[in-house]
Amino acid sequence: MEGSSSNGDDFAVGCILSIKTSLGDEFQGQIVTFDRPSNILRAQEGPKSGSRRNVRLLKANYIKEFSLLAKAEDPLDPTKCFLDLPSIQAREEAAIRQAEIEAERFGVGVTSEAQRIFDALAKTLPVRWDKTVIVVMNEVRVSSPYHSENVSGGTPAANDRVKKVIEFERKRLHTRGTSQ
Amino acid sequence: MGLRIEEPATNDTSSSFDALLFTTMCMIGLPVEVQVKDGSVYSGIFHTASVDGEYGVVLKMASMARKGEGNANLSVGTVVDTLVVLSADLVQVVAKGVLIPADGIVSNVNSDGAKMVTSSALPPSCHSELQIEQKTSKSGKAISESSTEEDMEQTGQNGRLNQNEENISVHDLKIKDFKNGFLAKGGKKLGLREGAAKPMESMLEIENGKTDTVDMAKVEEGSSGPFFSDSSDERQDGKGKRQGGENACGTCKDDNMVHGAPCSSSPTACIPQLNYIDGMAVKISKILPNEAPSASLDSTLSEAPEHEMPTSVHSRPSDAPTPYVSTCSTSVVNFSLSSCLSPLGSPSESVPSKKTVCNTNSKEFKLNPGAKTFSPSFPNLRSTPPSVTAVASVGYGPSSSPMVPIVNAQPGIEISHFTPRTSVPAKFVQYSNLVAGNSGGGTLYGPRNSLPIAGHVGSREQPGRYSSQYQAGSAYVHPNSQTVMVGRLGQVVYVHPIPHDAIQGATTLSQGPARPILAPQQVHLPKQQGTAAQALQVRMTTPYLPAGQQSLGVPGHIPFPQPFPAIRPISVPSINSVFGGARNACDGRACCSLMSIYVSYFHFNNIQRPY
Repeated sequence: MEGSSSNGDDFAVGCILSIKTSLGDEFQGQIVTFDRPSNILRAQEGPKSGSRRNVRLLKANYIKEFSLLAKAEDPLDPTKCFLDLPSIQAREEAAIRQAEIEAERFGVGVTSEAQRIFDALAKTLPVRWDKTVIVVMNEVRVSSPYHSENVSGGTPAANDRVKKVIEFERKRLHTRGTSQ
Repeated sequence: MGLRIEEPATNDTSSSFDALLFTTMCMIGLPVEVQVKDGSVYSGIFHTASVDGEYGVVLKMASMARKGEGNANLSVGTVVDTLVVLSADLVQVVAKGVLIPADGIVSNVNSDGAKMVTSSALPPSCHSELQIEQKTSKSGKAISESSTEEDMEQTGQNGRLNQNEENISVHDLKIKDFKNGFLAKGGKKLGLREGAAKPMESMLEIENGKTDTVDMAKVEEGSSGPFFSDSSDERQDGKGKRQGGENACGTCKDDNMVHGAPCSSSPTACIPQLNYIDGMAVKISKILPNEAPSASLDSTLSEAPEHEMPTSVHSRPSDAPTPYVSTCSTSVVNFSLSSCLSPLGSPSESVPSKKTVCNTNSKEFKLNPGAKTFSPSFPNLRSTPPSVTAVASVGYGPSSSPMVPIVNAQPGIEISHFTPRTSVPAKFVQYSNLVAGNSGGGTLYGPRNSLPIAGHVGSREQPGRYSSQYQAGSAYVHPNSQTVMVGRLGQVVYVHPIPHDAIQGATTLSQGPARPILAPQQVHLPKQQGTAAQALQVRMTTPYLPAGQQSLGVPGHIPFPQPFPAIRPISVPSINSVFGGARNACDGRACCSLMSIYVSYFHFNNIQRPY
């Protein structure tokens, strides 16, 4: 991975650059590789000590300016790199499953206030969206505009509990809104 | 399982491409943010990318995190299942917390961690050996597959490989698939990094080597792998590869001469072997450039005199899928395997063992597949009768050992031969896995002449067997009445110091504290622990019959603990060599057969097993 220094236009592998993109981002990172055919610059950010880094793949034609901060060795030793394909596969499947679970928490066609109430209820109670209606514990339904008087169904205890949570959350949201 | 970028790139373009591909692969499954040219930022799970010329990415469960200037048909917060970002729109991809897998660092998802643990549990020498052999085993795809199939065929035909081996064989096939699927662009090789498959190969080699019929296909790949281009025409170049395999097999013998390393039954013998392979690699790489055709390399290899295998028989044409026969000595295998045991070495481990830590690990994980991060410790090495016991009843006692391990390949219900050593206070006897009269019922056996044996069987797997020699009382009491160790580590019967006079007078000895360490299949035995202190006297009344059925008469007055209501003559068919058939070297399979016989005995005699 010795630098792509055969071409003068290429980035030297291992150099630590401060890069500013044409879209306004600015970051510092170490050049890991630069693939000229795809014009993709791969830089990694983060401390050297940690094993986890932030990796950035940037199209070089969106680099507005850069400055050389330091020179370092090639951070990627090809002889020590390996890929655990089953792990990668499992990781992706797990991430997708988790994303699907989280996606169910977002109401479609609801206001941000409704989503915040949903999130507040979700902290203590099992909730789900039934279109725009919040269903708590599969029995108490909170319909728009998600006030305490819009709570219906369920046992009286559960109904009262949901009402209290909604009132408390609305107060909190109101307090937060006024403070901001 | 993994892929390793084996060779440094030959040019900058392919090198940068490989790095980009590697980075892309590392980002799969991670949450990323993709910025497009209108300034919008989409977050999602990195699914795949197109790396052919243009670089486009595909996200799963993507949503817009920041709206840009353009008019996108995706609102903020809306999740789309698959989002394709074309190269023309792509500005940057940001992934946070990417773990770049390198040596010693595995990815954060431990889906196949058992193998990595297995690999990491090995001593460095063994680990490096695995890596080297991994590298070398990737030479020919077709041959790899065919050899694996051959191995599996042999498994089915001979029935000699245990389940563990079969599993790894199947696993090996998967490795081949990966190997085929991830050949890097420009003909660059992506090597394997598979820690668990190698023990399998070693095991296969052991099994085959023990019978002097070695499946050399893998070895062939092994020796020729790093020096040959990864092309399919290697299959047609079988002769050279065979010679390479011979080289790999013969290195162990040559190690003694070339390196002067302690190869003679030494656990460290694989290290010079590795050095040797390395040296060969260096030498060849000096001889030939990377672009050298494989044929010339073959000739170079074959002309190297020091790599010649002493005896080998090529019985097949090169393109035949079945392996050729070679008389590769078992020492080749034993060396490398014993190196795995080296950290646990003890003087009593000098008896070569066929089982390895690697295989034991695999077995552990097979038994408990959920324990993927479990790294078992081995207070006692499990060792089966050695593969070097081709000659039956060969006493094997290294002089440096304070205890005398005696390899006894002679099957049957009889005490193994003792090798009387004047200055050695302990003795070892090889035990088979069969218990005459159930060692779980008590390891104390009172022979006819009332010479007791007190002690415990150190074997986890092999209960003791008891011999007519012992009944004769000829060689069992140590003359100096010191501590007598019977068996070896793993199959040890420790006999407490018993004075001569006490032995003569005593009829039985309590063997309560000296219980055998139980194997998993012997979990039923501790139930009798409560009666263990009870003095048991087992009298082997029926002489040993070398052929046919054998009945073991045990007097009914023996105070067996409960599940033995009536000890009656035991008819044990001499199916195999256990009760006196062919005197083969007892190995792990024989021991398994013994356990089967043991279990079937209980079924046959309608005796409740002592659970």
